[in-house]
Formats: sequence, structure tokens, C-alpha cells
Amino acid sequence: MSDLGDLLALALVGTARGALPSSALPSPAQPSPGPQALAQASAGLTRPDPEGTLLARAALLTLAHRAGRLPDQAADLPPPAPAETRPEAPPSAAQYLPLVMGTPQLPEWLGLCARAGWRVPAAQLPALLDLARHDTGLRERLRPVLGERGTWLAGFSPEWRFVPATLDDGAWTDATEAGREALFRSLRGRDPHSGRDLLAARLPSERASSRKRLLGALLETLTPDDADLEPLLDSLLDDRSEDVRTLARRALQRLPSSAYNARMAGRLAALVQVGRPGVLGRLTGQTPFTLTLPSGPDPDGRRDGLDPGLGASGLLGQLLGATHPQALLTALNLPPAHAVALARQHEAGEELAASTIATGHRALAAALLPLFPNDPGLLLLGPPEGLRVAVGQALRAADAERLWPLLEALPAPWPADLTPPLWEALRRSLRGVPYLSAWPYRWREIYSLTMERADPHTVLTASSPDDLTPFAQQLLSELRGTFDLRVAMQREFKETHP
Amino acid sequence: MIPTPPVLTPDAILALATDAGSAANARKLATPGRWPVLNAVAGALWGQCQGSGQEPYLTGVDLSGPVGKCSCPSRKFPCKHVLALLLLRATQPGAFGAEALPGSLETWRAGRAQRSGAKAAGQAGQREEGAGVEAPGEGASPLPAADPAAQAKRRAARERKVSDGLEALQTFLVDLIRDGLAHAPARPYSDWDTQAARLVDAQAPGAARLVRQIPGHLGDPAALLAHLSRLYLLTEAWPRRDALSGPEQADLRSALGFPLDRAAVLERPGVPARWLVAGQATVQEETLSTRRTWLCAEPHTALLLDFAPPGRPLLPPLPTGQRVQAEVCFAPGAFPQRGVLHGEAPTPAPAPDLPPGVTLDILLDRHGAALALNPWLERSAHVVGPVWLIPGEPWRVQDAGGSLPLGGGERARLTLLAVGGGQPVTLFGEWDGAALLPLSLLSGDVLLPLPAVEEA
Repeated sequence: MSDLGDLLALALVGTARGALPSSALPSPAQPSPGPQALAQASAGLTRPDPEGTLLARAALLTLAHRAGRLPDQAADLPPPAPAETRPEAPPSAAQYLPLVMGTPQLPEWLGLCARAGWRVPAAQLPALLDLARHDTGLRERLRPVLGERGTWLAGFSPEWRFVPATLDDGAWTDATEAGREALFRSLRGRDPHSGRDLLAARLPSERASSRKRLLGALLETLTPDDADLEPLLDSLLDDRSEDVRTLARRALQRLPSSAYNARMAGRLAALVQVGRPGVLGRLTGQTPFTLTLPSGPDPDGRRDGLDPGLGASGLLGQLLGATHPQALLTALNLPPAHAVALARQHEAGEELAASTIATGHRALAAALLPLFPNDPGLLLLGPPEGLRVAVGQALRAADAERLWPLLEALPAPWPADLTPPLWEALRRSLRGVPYLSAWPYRWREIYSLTMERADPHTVLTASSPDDLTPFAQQLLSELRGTFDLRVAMQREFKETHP
Repeated sequence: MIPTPPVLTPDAILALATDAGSAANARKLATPGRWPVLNAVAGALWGQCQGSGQEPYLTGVDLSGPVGKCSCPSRKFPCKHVLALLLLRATQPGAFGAEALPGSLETWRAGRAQRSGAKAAGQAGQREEGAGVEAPGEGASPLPAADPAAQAKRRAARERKVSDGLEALQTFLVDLIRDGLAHAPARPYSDWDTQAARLVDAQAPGAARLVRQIPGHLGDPAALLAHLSRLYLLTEAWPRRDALSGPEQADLRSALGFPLDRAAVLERPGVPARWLVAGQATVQEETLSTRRTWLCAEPHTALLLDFAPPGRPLLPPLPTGQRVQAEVCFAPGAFPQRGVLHGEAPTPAPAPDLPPGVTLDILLDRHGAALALNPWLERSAHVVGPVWLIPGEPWRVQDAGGSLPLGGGERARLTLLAVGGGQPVTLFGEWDGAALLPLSLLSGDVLLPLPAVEEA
């Protein structure tokens, strides 16, 4: 009864139900080291009550075990991280990372780091990967600067599955759906052609939800160069999942010479008859278009996403929205302006604009702009000045509803001369505003966009405290502070990496 | 001439924040635009920051510390303005002017210098005025003018209370063993609470703390028996305390929760050295937040303890990686560990030459030797390494001699793994007999503080 295990067994049932045997080993006069000595010392401990004896012996043995503990057995080491291929961001630039961690300025820091060809310091990787868990935009920014270390590290936490492992035979099979999407995105980013091959090889055997993810990722980077993917995409028009079928159609629409676009264009040609302008038409430059619904059934219509019950103008809208503009113009043999007139006559302008923006058709965008002068997507495709002019007008009108979508579309970095009028507009919008919820939501969004994307190098006039509430002053000084930080950050990157 | 204290890295500065909110707010303020007035003079920074009120806040930082003073109403120490000033100095030193301190801050700083001079002259003092909060009871040191007879009477009364409390505790423990530990989990929670409350009343808060920990061991009978036997040892040692040596008695008193007599400790000969702030851990317990700060100067390791009741801030922490030229007076004990800082002043060179790392075998040896001197020792701190990290359940550190479980939060462990990259690392951590709690990591020549457990 001197072993800790025996003591525990008795302690569990209780000394009321078991007996503490009298010690078998006599306590020696001179203890000697070793387990035997410990047992002897323990056996020699007695108290008047069995409980006390048990506790005193347990105290001795516990302490002896604790003090004599040896390291546990060795376990298998994880494989070390591969050697890095890009240098770590130097301390002068890296010191800004803790300052922007978790703020809207983090993507800018990551972008600057990627452009300089650096990677993030290893100690910051866990915080960055945690932030990217729920932020897909941040994931894309983080990927190029993770370095070999970051990719390696992500393999050790289930929370970081979104970071693609090195693509080898097992990687795809072992990955979750999010992991497979990440693998595809990363390969596609490095090598579009291999990304295409990967998709062609893997997509057909994926589950529906995974097919949807992968097609969604493909759509973000699809160009006419991906015409090789047409057979795969065309086969997906018969997919069991409605979502997958829709995504496949949108992809096929963006390949100008796809058979899908040819079928759609053929339907348009059959539907639309271009009339000869009458006297009035010749005077106003307008061509009459008549629509005739085809009489026979369309065998592929449902497969191509057409709704069979539609009338003539409904069908026109669907066709205009779902056909590549170039296929459309060729099939109808119309210049862009006439195509716009056709859409306008039959109230399908919005469908045509959507398809124009999705496919990035510049000529048609220019022709559509008079119809939708404030559409950010069209403005972006149109002549470069268009968007700037529209922003200027919205700013002068202090029309936040119109301004916000335009700014949202304006690619960063914004031109430097936009900052002063934006600053003024924000100041005016803040006049007399006592607290946040009294400030219109759109202006708050514009404020955030300005903070992140406006050129920070403009010297801003200090606000006079008289006409501004303390709340407004604080917001404006926060904006100025963020600009200061961004200037300092950009300068540091420029100086260390000219 | 006042030496220029080291410039801390933004990471080390943000680690000074009392909570994540302060850190986030300090980041927002860390731009010159928020500071119409911004100046750096020898050993100090000061500036004005426009807050939500009419008057801008006046903020000063004495870099020997660093300790700040701010006119903002925040009850956090350091406040976001002080942190922001430090961040600005680290990232944009060019933004500072050189105007002298305004009168109020100059007075504050002169007062600090005077007090630290007084401390150096041998008077007891706390690290910072006002904000300092002592452990319950620790501040209640006898009045200087007290009559020795009354003092002895009070001491005798307290010892009687402790004796009664521990006697009752022994009966409680004996009952538990008689009934059998298998029945312990079925006891109502109030059993443990009542027993702990009695020990608090008996002025043995250390024993009360151990009793409050019992429910945490109910799922593991072996650990439960070990824990109870440790409490039993206290109840046996106290009535026989006269047989113990002076240092052993001090260990026993400290384990029972007797307050440290700071004034007496400061009268003991100190160990003057350039101490390295090697690591920090803050734990929130039910009635108290406790911060453990470990200082290293070969061959010594000293533990500074700061306490604050709930809702009150702790003293501004010493930044991990900084060196402090100071005397540490060790509290009496068979294994001297807890210390009190005496006459601190930061020194310019930030280069942390951490003592060399030891193997896991030596760590266990040292801990065992310390336990042989003080059986109630809860933890000891060590520089360990080089060790490999092995993720898993549990995580482990490993060297040629074998492996030990690695505790701490997931974020801290993944940070270790990230910096190591599969190569061995040297770290500073606490061994508590069950797991190694990592507190800081040597990366190149920089000592990185690791994220605290509760934030992970």
C-alpha cells in the first residue's frame, strides 16, 4: 500500500469501505535513493487515522513523481517548411503591418508587399490567416505574399484549409470543397492554361456544390482564350444542377465563337426583321424593327436557358441578355447604335447593357452610354474620361445615391485631383450631423471608400471647428489620419523597393 | 544626461494594450494628422490629440517605463493616446517636433524622477503612483506608527484564524477520502464554494484558491488525489511551522496566501542587474486579475506579480524584450522566485541576450530541485531550446531527450510554428508540472511576446 495506484484505488472507494493495510516494509534508518527507498519512505508515513495516512503518503508520492518526472517519449516531427523563394518584407515596411492589421488598410499593405516581390514576416502569418478565414477578398490578396512558410503553416490548422497546398496527386483528393476551389484558383492565377486542364480533368467527377464553386471561380477569370473549355461547358448545359447550368451558360456566352452563341444569334436573326425606314424614320434616323415569333419548336431552347412561354419581346430580352454582343451584331448585321435602338424599341436596354458589361464589349458600351449615362459598368468600358466626368457631376450635385456606385466602380488608385472635391463633399454632408445614425448611409459608404481608395497625397484643408459638430470633426480627422498613414506606408515601400 | 530609451517595435507596443479595443483605437490614433501638437524631448514624448470633447487631450509619455499621463477620461492604463504616441514614435519619428514639455507634464515627470530617486535611496515604493493596486491584504500593511504590542496581537489573531480554518479544511479532506473520491463529483457545487469561502474568512486565500480549483479536477481521479494531497500537506505543515526554517515558513505562508510585506522585502539586499523582461502572462481569476512578469539576468529569474480587482486596470506592464536596470529584492523563500523591483530605469540597448536555452531534461531537473525546496511551488520559468514543435493533441515540444506537452493558446502555438518553420526554436515559458506555457520566442535577436492565452 505504498504505490500511488493502490492509494488511488482505495481513495476512490473511500476508507470507509476499504482498509489501509499495515505497512509491509519497515522504514529504514538510513534512506537510500531509488524507487525502493520511496516506497519505504511512503510506507513509513503513518497518521492516527487511515485517511490522514493515505493523504500524507499521496502527498509524498505525488511530489516525488512530479520532481522526478522525465520527458515523455519522442514523437514524429512534422516535415519542415520548404525554402523560401521571395525575401521577407524588411522591418521598415513590415512595421506597418501590425498598424493596419484588421483594418481596411490591410489589403493595401498586402498589395504593396506583393508588388515589391516580398512575403509577410512569419510571425504575422497566424493573425493574417485568421483574418482571411471569412474574407475571400483578403485571401486573394494574401495568397501571393504567404511565401512557402505560409502555405506550409496553413496545413497545420483546419481553419486555414482555404490556402491551397502544393498541387500533387494527393492534394486534390484530400482537399475539402473550399480547398479544391483554392487549389484551382491558385493554379489558375499562376498558369491559366494548366488551370484549364485541371478543370477539364476534375470537374466532371465533382459533386454539384463543388462544380458550382469551381465554375464560379472560373467565371472570374474567363477570357476568349479559354475556348478550349467549350466542350466541357457545353456538356454542363445538361447538368442536373440548375445553378451549374446557369453558370455554364454565362461562361459560354463569354466565349464569342461558341456554338451556344451561334445558336442564340440564329434565334435572334429569325426573330428580328429589320424594316426599311419610312419618311419619318429617314428624317429621325430610326429603323423600324418587327419581331416574329418562330412557328416551330426550338429543340435546344430549354437547354440554352430560354423560357418557352414568352412572347416576342420577352424572348428578345432574353436573347439580348444572354448572347455575346459580337455574335448578336454579326447575326443581325447591325452597327452598335442600331442594336441599341432595337433594344430600346422593345424595352430590352437593360438586358443588352448587362450582357455588354459581362462580356466587356467596348463598342456597344459606348453606344449604350447615352441611354444609361450613369451606369458604372458601362462607364468603365467607355472612354476613360466618361467615368471621371460622371463622378464629377455627381459630386457637384452632392448626390450620394448616384456617386456611390460610380466610386465603387472606379478602379483604385483614384486620380489625385479627385481627393479635394471628395473631401469637400464629405465635409458638406457632415455639416450639423451630431452622431453617426444621423448621417445618410450612402455618405458613410462613400467615406469608407474614400478612406481606402482615394489618393492620400493631397494636403487637406483643416476643418474649421465652427461649422462642424465634434462628431464630424472626429470623422474628418480620422480620415486625414488614415491618409497620413497610407502616405507613410507607401513611401516606406517606395524607398525600400524603388 | 538621460539616456535615450530603446524604441519598441509596434508589436511590443500593442502588446502593452489592456485589451483588443485599446489596441485597435490606438492604431487609429497613430497618425500625425490626429495630433496637432506632437513633440519628442529627451526621454519623453508629448502631444495634443483632438478627441470628442472641445478641449484636446494632453498626453505625455515618460519613456523610462514607458509610463504615460493623459488628460482623457479613460480608465485604461496605458490609454489609447499613450499607446498611439509610442506607435508614432516607432513608425514616424520625423513627425515629432522638439518643443519642451508643458508645465503640468513637466511637474508630473519631475515627480516621477524624484520618486524613483527616493526609491533608489531605499524607501518602499510602488511602480507607479495612483494606478497601483495591491493584492487584497497586501496594501493593508500595518500603519508605521503602530504599537509593536498591538501588531503582535493582530498577528497572533490572524494565525489563530488560519489555524482554525486549516483544521476545518483537514476535516473536510478527511471526509472526502472516507466517503471515497468516486462520490466527490456528485457533491453539490456549494460544498466547494462554502469550503473556499470559509478559508477566505480564515484569511488563508491561497488555500481557498486551491479549494476552488477542486471542481476542475473532478473528472480525473489521479489529479484530484494529487491536488487534495497538496492541500493536506498545507494543513499538516501549518501546525508544525515552528519546525521549519525561516525561508520554508515564508514559502508556506505565501502558499496559504499571506500577503507579501513589500517594505520588508525592499529592505533585504537586492540583486542589481540589467534585467531582461522575458515574458508575461495575465490571468483573470474569479476575484482578481493577476499578471506575472518574468525578469531574467543570469543566473537569476525573478517573478513580479501585479494584481487588480475586477474592473480595475493593472499597472502599465513592462514591455517584453526590454531591459531594465534595477535591483530586484527577492521575497524570502527556500527557492527564491518572487521579487520586488527597486529603482527601475530602462537602459538604452534593447538587444535581449536571453540566457542560453536548456534541454527539457534540465528544465525538469531544475523544476524538481525547486520542488524539493518548496513543495508548494506552482510553476517555474525557463529558457528552453532549441526545441522542435509538434502540432497535435496535445502539442509538444521535443528535443533529443524526449518531449513535453506544450500549453498556451492556439494562436501562440501557431506563431511558434510559423517562426520556426519546422526548425527548432528557443522560447521562454512557464512549466507548471503538466505543460509548458510559452510566453515569448527568440526570433533572430528579437524577443517576440506571444499572444496571451485568453485572447487566443
